[in-house]
This record gives sequence, structure tokens and C-alpha cells, in this order.
Amino acid sequence: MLAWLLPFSLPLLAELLISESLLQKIEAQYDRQARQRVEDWQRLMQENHDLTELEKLTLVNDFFNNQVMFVDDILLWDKEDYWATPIEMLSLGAGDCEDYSIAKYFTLKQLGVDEDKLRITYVKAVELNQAHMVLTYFENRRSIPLVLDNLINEIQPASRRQDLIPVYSFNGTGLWLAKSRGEGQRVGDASRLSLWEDLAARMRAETESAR
Amino acid sequence: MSLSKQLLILLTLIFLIVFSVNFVMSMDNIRSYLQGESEVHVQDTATSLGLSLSPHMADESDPILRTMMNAIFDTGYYKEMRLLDVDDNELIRLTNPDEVRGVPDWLMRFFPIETATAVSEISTGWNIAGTLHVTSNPGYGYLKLYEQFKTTLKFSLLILLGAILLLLIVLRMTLRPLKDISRQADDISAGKFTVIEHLPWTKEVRSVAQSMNSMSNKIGKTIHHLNTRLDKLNDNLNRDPLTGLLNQQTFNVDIKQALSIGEFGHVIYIKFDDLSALSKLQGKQAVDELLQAFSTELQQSPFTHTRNYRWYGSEFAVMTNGTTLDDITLIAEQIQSLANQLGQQYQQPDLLHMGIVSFERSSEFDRLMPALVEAYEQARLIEANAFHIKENTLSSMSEMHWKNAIEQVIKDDSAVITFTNQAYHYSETDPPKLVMREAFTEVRDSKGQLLPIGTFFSMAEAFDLVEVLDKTLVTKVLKLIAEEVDPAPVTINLSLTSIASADFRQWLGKEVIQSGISPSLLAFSVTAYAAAKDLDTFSAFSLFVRQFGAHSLLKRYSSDVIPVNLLKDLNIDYIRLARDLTTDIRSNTNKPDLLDIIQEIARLLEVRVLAENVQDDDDFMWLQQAGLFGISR
Repeated sequence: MLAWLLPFSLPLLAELLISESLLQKIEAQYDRQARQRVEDWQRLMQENHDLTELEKLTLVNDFFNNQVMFVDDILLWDKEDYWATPIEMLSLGAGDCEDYSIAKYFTLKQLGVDEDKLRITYVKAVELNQAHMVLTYFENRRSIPLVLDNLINEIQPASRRQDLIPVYSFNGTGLWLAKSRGEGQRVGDASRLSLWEDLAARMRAETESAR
Repeated sequence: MSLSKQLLILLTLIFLIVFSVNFVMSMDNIRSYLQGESEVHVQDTATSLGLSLSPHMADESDPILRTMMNAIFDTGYYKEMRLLDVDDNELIRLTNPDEVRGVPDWLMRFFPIETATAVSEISTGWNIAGTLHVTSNPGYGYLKLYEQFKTTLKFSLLILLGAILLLLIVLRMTLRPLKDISRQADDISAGKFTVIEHLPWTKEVRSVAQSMNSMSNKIGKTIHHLNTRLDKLNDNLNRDPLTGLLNQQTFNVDIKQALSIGEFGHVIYIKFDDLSALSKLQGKQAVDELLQAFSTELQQSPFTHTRNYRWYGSEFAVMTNGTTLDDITLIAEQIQSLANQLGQQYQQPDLLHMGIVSFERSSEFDRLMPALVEAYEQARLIEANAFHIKENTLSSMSEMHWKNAIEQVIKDDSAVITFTNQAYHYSETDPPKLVMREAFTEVRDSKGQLLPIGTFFSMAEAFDLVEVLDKTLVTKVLKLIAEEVDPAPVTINLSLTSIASADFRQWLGKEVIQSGISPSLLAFSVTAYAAAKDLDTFSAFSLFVRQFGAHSLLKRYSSDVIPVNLLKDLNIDYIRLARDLTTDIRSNTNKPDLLDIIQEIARLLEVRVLAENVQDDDDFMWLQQAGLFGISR
């Protein structure tokens, strides 16, 4: 009965075991390609633990940039801002910049990349003149981060990304920790709801319901 | 403890528990809410202040960093703010003293608010520049909590008080009928068969009240019915069946009563000289007719305060109260003329003769009969149907002598007390148990001659010495009982004057307590006909002795003197039956019924019945079977 509490206390991606029934459901709801994308993703997470961190970054960045088409939330979800789960994104084969960053974040974490080296960063895309989000990788706290962006396929150091102005970055671990402190009782607290939590809840629901 | 008090305490306790639990839970909810709020607040501050500091982090020594932090910190909502560089070296630290003023310590102990700390990462451009740690100041939370505590407590107490008040009113309303029922039960047990007029609206209580009313009515009716039967039986018992006049036993009771309460008057003794001759000549029927005619005329006598008796066969008596020599002469002449008239009618001119004696306070009962017979004999010497009056022949001593004798007895303390009339309780299972005895007084004059005790007390009453005398005797009796190892209960006779006296009662209460004797061993008694003179006084006295644990007893009781249903109003504990009632029980058709009914009602009213001086074995057996409380032989 307390299984729903688990995502708060365990590394989140450890939960992302995709069952056959979930795959069937995805296939029934979307199409064969949707199932294929999710299966590919699962295989990617299972088979590439031995790569170097840089190889992992490239693999994951390429996977999502190639598999998923950029579409605005308003078109896709009929909402101004919607953070899709990796499964939702892969099932649809489409997502926006947040969905890319989040999916890459969780996939790298699943592949064994230290969360402390990953930041989800709010940036301003200068040429597009719009708010944008990327995943950044810090080899150490003082290094210049690498930017995993869905606008360009190549991973570049931040110093070469003059087209982006960094605004604010956050680390998933801290947020999860902050939440896990409060345990279950915070779930019902409306003041605590955020897109991040909403996302976590949906990821839990996906894996739970198909089990 | 009364039911209403128990319910009130129980429900108040439940209210208190519910209110307390509710109060503590609501306080904890507030505490938890305040804590959550403070966590959100510090996280918001850390994030927004971190964002504001970001552009200035390139120069870690820029004073703008401290200025901006101060601006936020000085609002007072924070206990600590720390700015660390990327290597976790502390750049700036701001702290508030760790004290919370105006909030009691116990409140902080019971409802602790944890300090919340939030961390936010600061970057300059793409690079991580450091971290900002913000810790909340719980003082504000505590202050808010304390305010809330006071308000909540105030309203909770007000509501609790209101609830208790409401409870009190509802309990009063609901339980009032129970009080009425309890009062009714007391009334019934006291022999008053009251009815609850306003039936309660609570179903169960209403049903109890109805049952009680029904029971009260039934017992009341039963007692009323038995009492009516008693009246009839008494009348049968007291009257001569042929003439309907009162009989000799009644005369004896009446004259003794009159003597004991110091009345004066005359007794006329009437004897038909030769009824057997008349019977031979005219038949038994004619004799009966003559006696009935005589009785009828006698009853129609215009004089008040006269009572007429047929003692036996040809002997009649008239007792008059308050008559002078002139009065009695007039009455005697009337009877004489009646005798003359009847004598002519029945051809017996020399029909009867009358002996008349006067009586007064100092008269002695034992002297009455001889004096009457002597007067009668003298009347016979005069003429047919004549009467002879003798004055002042019933006293052995003059009033002055009586006074001296009484004063002497008191002064010498020479009265002798003996315990007589030992009454035993007989049961089938246990051996007979001594349940009552009577303190009997003997007094002698200066020559050692035994004085008639009834007259002695009657005279003491006349000379206002009876209260002193009673005190002397009570002291003597108490002393005797105190000397006994395992004393049985004792009846102590008192005069009506003494029991009416407030001074005497006060003295008696003190005396009994000081004696150390268990008051339950004492039964204070007056004769039934003395009590009948002033029932209120006797009732008040009975209540008084009951209050200190002693009992009251009516002696020489018969239901014609005091109706049985009045016994409970008198707060009486014992009655001792008049000796006539318990003598030759089976030979009289009315006596067994009468005794049965008295015993039955007494049992209902919780009055104990005693019989005294039962000589005859048949009577004794009968009384034993009737279940009397005590019988003396």
C-alpha cells in the first residue's frame, strides 16, 4: 500500500522498469513506432553502462534529438507549459525543450552519471528571442559546463554558446531531497505543487499502473 | 452521590476530554501549517535572493552582496543566512540571536516548530558560483502559535462552559421527575400515599411514575379498607351486643385514662336488683326488652360528657366528666325517674339502685370498685330506685400529702427501677431473643408503704414536678443499662408534659449521648391515650429521638385510641398492644381479625408490634403465629 511513497525515497529512475503490459498499452494507445521508441530507450538505458561519461552524453543527446520532434506544448498538450515524462514524450515522438532536458537528465542518471554533475538550466535563446531550457553537464564544480540542447545536435561547452544567456539552473537531487524530507504528508499540500512534482507523480503513475 | 451529580461529572469529564483532544489537535495542525509555511518561505527567499545575487557573484568581495542579504535578512523572518563560494568557503554569515520573547517555554516544548533551512545554488553565467543557505526564525511561528493558543483556549473554554451549562439545564429537566419519584417513595414508606400529579415526559421515567402512582393508590386503598374494617371490629369489641352500650373493658380503659390525665367527675354504678324474678314472671325476652329500653333512654340523656356502659348482666355504669355534686344529683334523679317509669311498666317498682362516687386526680383506681359497691349498698337502704353519692373516697392521701411524698422521692432519689415485661422475639429457627423490656418504677412513702404509681405520676403532673421526676428516673435507668454487659432494649416511660418540653428534650439528647449507651437500645414511651391528647407533640418528640438514633413506643395501644394509619405520621417505631386485645383472643370473634389487621398494617408501615403480659398459653400461641415482634408473659 505504501508503494506510492517509494519514488520519494529511492533514486527515481530505478523505478523506471518498463513492463510488457505498459508497452502493450502504449502500442494500443499510440502505434507500433511509439512502442519501438520506448523499447529502444529502455535498451539504451540497459546496455550502455560501461561507456565513458562523454560517450553517454553524446548517445543520450543524439537519441532524443533524433527520435523526438520539437513541438510546442500548446500544440501538443493544449497547455502553455507542460512537462512531459520521458515515456509520454517518446510515445508521442514529440516534445518541447523542457521535455528534452528532463528526458536526457533522467536517462543519464539511469546510466550512472552523478546527479551532482547535471543541472537543468533556464536560458534565453538570443536568436529565437524566447525562453528556453537545456541540460548542462559539469565535469567538476569549477569547470565550464557542456550544453545538451535540442536546438543543435552537437554538444558544445557553454563558452561557445553565445546564442544562449544562462538565467537559472537547478539540480534535481536537491529538489528530490527537499521533497523526500517531508514524506507523504506534503503530497496533498497545494502550496507545494510544481511542474516538477506533477511530473514525478505522472512518472510514478505510469510505472505503477502498468505493473 | 445523586444521579444528576454523577451524570454531570461524567459528561463534563467527557466534554473536557473531547475539548482537550480537539484543542491539542488543532494546535498541532496550526503548528504543522506554520512549519510548512516557513519551509516554503525560506525556499522562496533562497531562490529569489540567489537569483538576485547571481549577477554580482563574479566579484565575491563586492559589498553589494552583503547589502542585498542584509536588506532581506533585517526583515527579521530569518535566523541565519550564509553565502558560500563554489568551494564551500563561507563568504557572508548573518545571524539573529536565538531567542523567542513573549512565548512561554512549555508551549515551545509541547509544540516545537523546527527551523527550516533552504539551499539555493548561485551561478555566474554558466558557472556555479556558490550556494545560499537560508534558515527560518521560528520565533515568528511561535508568536503566531501563542496568539492562536490564547484565542483558541478562550473560545474553547467559553464553549465548554456553555456546554456544561446547557448540560446542567437538560439534566435538571430530565432528572427532576426522578426526584419527585424518590420523594413519593419516601412518602409511601412514611405511610403517606401521595400521587405524582405531573407525569414526566421521558418515556421510561413516565412509566415508573405511573407504576408508583398505581402502587401508592393501591396501598393507600388497602390501608383505608383495613382501617374501616378495624373501626367496625373495634366497635364490636368495645360494645355490649344486646344494648349497644360500651362494655366493662372500655370502662376500665376510660377511667384509667381520665385518672391519668387528672380529670375529675363521677361514676354511677347501676345494678338491677332482681332480674331473675322478672325473668321467671315475664320471660327472658321481657328482661332483654327492659334492658334495651333502659339503655336507649340512658343514651338519650341530655348531659354532655357522659358515657354509658353495660358491664355485665344487670350491672351498668355511667361516667361523667367535670360534674359537680349538683350536676350528678340531677343526672341521678333522671335515671331514678326513668327507673320508676320502667318499674311501673314491668310491674317491678323496686327495679334498681345506684352507687355514686366522685373521682379526681388523686383518686386510685383500685379503690373505685369497693367504693361503688359500698355506695350501692347504702342506696339499697334508702328506698326503691334510690341513689347514694360518696365524695372524696378514692384517695388514700390528701393532695398535700401527695406533694410531700413526691418531693421526698425526688429529694431522696428513692425511686427503684426494675426491668419488667421482658418481651421475646420468637422465630422458628432461632432461640427466643429478648427484644424489649420496660423500666418499671416503684415508689414508697416515708413509712415504706408502696404508692400507687399511676396516681403518683398523675399527682406529680398536677404539682409541676413530673419533668424533674422524669429526669431523675431517666438518669437512673441509663445508669442501670450502662452497668449491664450486653444490654437488651429498654422502654422508658415519660409523661406528655416532659416530651412537650423543649428543655427536657435538649436535656434528654445530651444525657443519652453522655451516657455512652447505644441510643438504639432506648425506646421512649407514653401511653396511647396520653399521646392521643396531643398527637403533634408526640410526633415531634418521636422525630427528635429518631434523630439521635433512639426509638419511640406507644404503650397500651388500641386502634380506637389512635387509628393505625396515623402511626407513620407519628414517626413511631413500636406499639405495645393494650392488654385487653391480647387476652382471650379466641373466645372473641372479633379479636383475631382485629389483631391480624393491626399486625398487617403495622408491617406495611414498618412499625414493630409488642404484646405484654400474655398469661394464657392459647393466646401466646396465637400471637406467636401471628408473627408479633415481641411477646412478654
